[in-house]
Amino acid sequence: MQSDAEKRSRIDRECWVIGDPESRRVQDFQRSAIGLGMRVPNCLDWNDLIASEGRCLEQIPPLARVRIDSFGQRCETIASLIELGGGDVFPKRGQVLSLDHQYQGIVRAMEMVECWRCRRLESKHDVIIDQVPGDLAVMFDKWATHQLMLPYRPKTVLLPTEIDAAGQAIQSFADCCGGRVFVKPRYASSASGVCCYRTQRGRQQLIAAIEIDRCGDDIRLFNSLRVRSFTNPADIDAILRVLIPQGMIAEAAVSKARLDGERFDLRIVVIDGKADHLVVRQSPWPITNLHLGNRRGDLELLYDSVGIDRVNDCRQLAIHAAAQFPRTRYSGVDILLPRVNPPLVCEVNAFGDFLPNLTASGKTVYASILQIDAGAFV
Amino acid sequence: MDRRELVFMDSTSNKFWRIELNGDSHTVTFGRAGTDGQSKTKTFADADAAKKDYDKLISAKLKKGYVDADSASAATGEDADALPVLAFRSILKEDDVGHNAKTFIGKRIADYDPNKKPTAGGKTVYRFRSDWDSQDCVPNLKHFLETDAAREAVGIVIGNWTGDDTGTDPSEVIELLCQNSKRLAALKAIYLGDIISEECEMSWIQQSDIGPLLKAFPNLELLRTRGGENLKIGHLKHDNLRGLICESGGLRAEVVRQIGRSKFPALEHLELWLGTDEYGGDSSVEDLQPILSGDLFPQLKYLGLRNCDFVDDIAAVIVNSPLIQRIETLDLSLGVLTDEGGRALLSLPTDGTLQHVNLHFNYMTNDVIKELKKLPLKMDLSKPSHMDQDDEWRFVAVGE
Repeated sequence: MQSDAEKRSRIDRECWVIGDPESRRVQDFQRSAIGLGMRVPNCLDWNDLIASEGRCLEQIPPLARVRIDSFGQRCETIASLIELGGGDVFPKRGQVLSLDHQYQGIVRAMEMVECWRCRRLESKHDVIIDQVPGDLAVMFDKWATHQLMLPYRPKTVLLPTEIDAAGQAIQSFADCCGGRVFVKPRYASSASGVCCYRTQRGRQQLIAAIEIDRCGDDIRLFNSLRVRSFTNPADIDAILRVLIPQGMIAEAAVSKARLDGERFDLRIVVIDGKADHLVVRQSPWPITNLHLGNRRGDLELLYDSVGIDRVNDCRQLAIHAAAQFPRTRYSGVDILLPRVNPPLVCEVNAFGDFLPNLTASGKTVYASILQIDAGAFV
Repeated sequence: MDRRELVFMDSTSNKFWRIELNGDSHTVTFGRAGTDGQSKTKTFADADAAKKDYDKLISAKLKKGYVDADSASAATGEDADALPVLAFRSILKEDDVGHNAKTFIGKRIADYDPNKKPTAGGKTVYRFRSDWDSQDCVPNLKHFLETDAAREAVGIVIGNWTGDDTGTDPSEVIELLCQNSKRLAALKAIYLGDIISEECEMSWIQQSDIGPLLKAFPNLELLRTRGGENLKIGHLKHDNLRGLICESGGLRAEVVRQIGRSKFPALEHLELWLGTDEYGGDSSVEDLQPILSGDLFPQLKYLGLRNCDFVDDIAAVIVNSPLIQRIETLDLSLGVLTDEGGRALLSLPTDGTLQHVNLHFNYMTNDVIKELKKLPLKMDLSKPSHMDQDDEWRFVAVGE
């Protein structure tokens, strides 16, 4: 039983979100807090964090609880991350460009937060951060995450950033993986730049949520909400030429189980070691992200068709994956369930907790996050 | 009290929609066919307003491809077991090309699982397919053929038969079905090739001679195939075939000519995806002449010449063809229909049997679309959202 004093301290603790104040994520989080009778969380804008080189964090009072959320989709935020990461080529809205520099920018921003936290720790004006900034930097690096998740990961290689060498590496990796591989940007998320690549009888197929924009010799790639299949070798070459220098990994494709005739994987939000929130992501395509028009599958049907034991194995694996970041209190883990073999970790998403309307035992993801006992975990 | 009941079928759904007008309110009931559905009643300021909304809702549904429940295409005739021609619809929208079928002849599809007892009474249509790391299609079909459910099966769906080897054709499956034609005594509909891009590109699918199926199943009513490569219709006579659908990225001229020489006196639904040269679709308007002349298939209600890169040429010829005077539905969707073809279609007959025109996925400009909308025909002039404005479909790289 909690004492009243403990309960009050949880409710009274000031909460800050580092995020995009205009985003649905932050607004939903604030609304959830109001719904729970808590104080409205303040939002510290990523733009201010970067522009002030972390100094704006000083406005956060002692004992506050801090949550790090997505920097959102604003062009200026992305440009300032790229600049912070040493890049000088900036994407148009939706363009897949400078992912490597953007990642370096994320790492630098996370260092700012970490330095501030250490200073606070020494000065006894302590704060409580939900996530370890360094963990988030690891989650945004698919190769680093892969190594942490072994042996529960599909076979994966890091590709060279030089185009010809990477092309050869993809071919030979595909040859030893039955012809089907995923080629993924090392530093991206939300299915951005993720390609399902296949060779067969001298033909190639690349399935991706990508749009090619050609302007003379200049080829630009845009993230598209529409998954499509490319079979023209010139298109496939164009896509890989733009992506490879930004850093990529190649991952053996897993033959996923089906539900109601369609393939699926699972997004499981792990909060303080509990894997209650689970979403079935069902799609006719090998890329199942929900913003691509794919649908949430039926949980009852999932239990019926794969069995409660297999689903529990998935939950356990998600908990294990999240536990590799022991001081980060929640993350969104994507689990692949092969048709026959044990489950595997696909990805660990730093900001993978935005699942509006998803409830477990009546609680939304944000309600569960807001109600974790902030003090208990330090 | 005014009342209208509409139904909709394609390869993802089978549903009904009913509206009843009662003074200043109307009640809409809708749901999956065979269920009671759910109802919503809406009350208006006066009876005129209710009637106006009633008409508006009906017109919107008809545009989406719903038809009257008692119309010829939805009717099952005196024999309640007969399939309505509406149930032969393949897919309506371009987006659905990327999905495996969920229903076939109006019945729910399930992947066959040899570890589960199949449903009796032919209510479920089973799909047999291999995966890229398994070869279950033929073994599962053999297993099913030994069950009692096989005798009651009205429809069968064959999915990806190739596993990961896109070079395999379905001749083994065809042979197996033919050998068991006596067991499959109730079989009326076969879909050979419910295969989506993720499994095998449509233009990579190796088909084969489907003649043996026509020969072995004299009571077959619908034969639907996907894939144009090596497709042959080696048997050109069938007294009971009511629906023939050949989906492809490119249909060879020879196949079109074979159909032009065929004797399918009961044919009501003919759907050919003519495709492009790039994938072997080398037919032309001349090859379609025997079909368009109108005498070949006296019962034809639906003609689909879809996914066609010379659909403008077809539009120019079809408006004056004898056939257009006799059919109910003309489907020129999924092709490269431009303003030129659209303007030709302005001369479609509006005083005959023709009621529905499907021009979904077209490259016409708003001016021509506006003109077409004035015709007293139910027209689908929709475009998938990605055709309108690509910018709106872009999303940003990192979010989670």
